[in-house]
Amino acid sequence: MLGITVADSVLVGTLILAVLAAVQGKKDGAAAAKATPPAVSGAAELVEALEEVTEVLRGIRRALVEISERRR
Amino acid sequence: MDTTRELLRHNADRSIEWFSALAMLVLATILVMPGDTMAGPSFREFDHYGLNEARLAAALGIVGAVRVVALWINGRWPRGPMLRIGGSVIGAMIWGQIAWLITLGALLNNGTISTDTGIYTLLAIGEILSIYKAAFDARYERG
Repeated sequence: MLGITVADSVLVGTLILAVLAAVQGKKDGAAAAKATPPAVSGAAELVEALEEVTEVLRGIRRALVEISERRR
Repeated sequence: MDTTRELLRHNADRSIEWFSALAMLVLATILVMPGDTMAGPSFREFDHYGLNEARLAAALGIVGAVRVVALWINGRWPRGPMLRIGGSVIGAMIWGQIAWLITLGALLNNGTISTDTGIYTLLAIGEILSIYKAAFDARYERG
């Protein structure tokens, strides 16, 4: 009928399934991208922690200097 | 719909793409070897669609090679997933056609269904899963 063979139907059917799979994959990819929390950089966290430790050490140094000055 | 989504999500994997791309290259290599590999009764229907050994080997070889390169450089080129989608779509079409033509050839000439039918059908289904995975990656990596 209309010169359409089963092979043509298989081809068109495959293409329809391909489009549906691509659309579904795109949708799920978008949803997963939104759901994923922002990536935490290990290096940035380390720098932050070092800054905090430096601040604490500075505080200790200031306190020690103050104590030693009072003793004089 | 949810069942389909779950099925796609749990079964889609890049290893299917690798397997399919390598299967294309292996098939192309076998076809270009000396001798008429497609002389068997199962392949008789291929002639009606102008699919001879050389054409099929060229199509499978080129598509397979492009897909292997796309998978190899995966993540280092932003358009990689799009190339993977294209390769999988062509792959699904090729495997689907081979599955049907072998089924028809075997039925008409042997009166039985060839075991190849099942294998090529599964390869075509694998390509559909790969299209889902590649489309997922393309959208996910864009953020």
